[in-house]
Amino acid sequence: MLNVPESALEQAEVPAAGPEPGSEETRQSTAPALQDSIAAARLGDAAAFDRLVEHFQQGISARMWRFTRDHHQHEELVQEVFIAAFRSLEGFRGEAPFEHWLNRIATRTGYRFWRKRDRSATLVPLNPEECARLQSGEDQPESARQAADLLHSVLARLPPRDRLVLTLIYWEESSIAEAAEQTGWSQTMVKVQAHRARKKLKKLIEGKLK
Amino acid sequence: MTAERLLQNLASRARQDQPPRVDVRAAVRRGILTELPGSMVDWPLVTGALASLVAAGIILAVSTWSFSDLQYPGLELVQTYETVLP
Repeated sequence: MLNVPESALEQAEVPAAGPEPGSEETRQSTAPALQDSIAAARLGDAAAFDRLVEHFQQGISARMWRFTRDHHQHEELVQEVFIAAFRSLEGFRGEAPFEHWLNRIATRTGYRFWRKRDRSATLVPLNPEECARLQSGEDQPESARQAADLLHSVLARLPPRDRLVLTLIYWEESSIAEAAEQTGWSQTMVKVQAHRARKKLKKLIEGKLK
Repeated sequence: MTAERLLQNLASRARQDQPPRVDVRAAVRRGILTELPGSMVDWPLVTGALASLVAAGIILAVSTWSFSDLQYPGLELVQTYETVLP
């Protein structure tokens, strides 16, 4: 049986190998205006990091909104991502664009948040109202907010690893390669985990919809 | 409808949901204030303060020992004798 190592996701640090910021590779992938801020922030310049926060905070906000629907928790998660990023800045070598690096930290932060909240690995059944809303499906399209709330609620029934892989693939529309990059898992692991998660979801939904 | 199809449909609608706008700059600034590198710490001041504390401790220890019975074991006896025979 192929098991996904927890440690890959638990680590807040991002692998440090790769070219230095300001190198050709980084220049191609990160907006030039941000390169100076990244370099300065790495040296501990708080004002430069402030500029990075300003630039990326709405993107991170959108990502963390998949991990919680609570406004207060959401804001705390966004803060947590940037503080973790500041701690890991020395490890950023420009191997990937800064935004990808930051998204990876965000994914790990969100995953840890789920793990802290829900350590149970049992499937929690859907309630009748959720089943009815799922059954209505395409016929009665809900508002985007309602659909997001429902999706969040359905995925919350799954254990954190299953929930994460489905969130990345379906909600974020990440490819297998992107999901692997976000989680630190291999692509094979992502596929296996996604397959298992879909089976559990099928059991969860179809078991109730019959 | 299969579970996967349901998930795809729900997710496509959910993606249109707008996240709340946040501005966490002030909170992040506060959060990282304690994490700034050594340049924010006045090391000469910290070293000077520590050295002063150590010096004060040494002086106190030496002076305490100098006037202790250990240093002059007969002192108490002499003082008692002087009290009895002025």
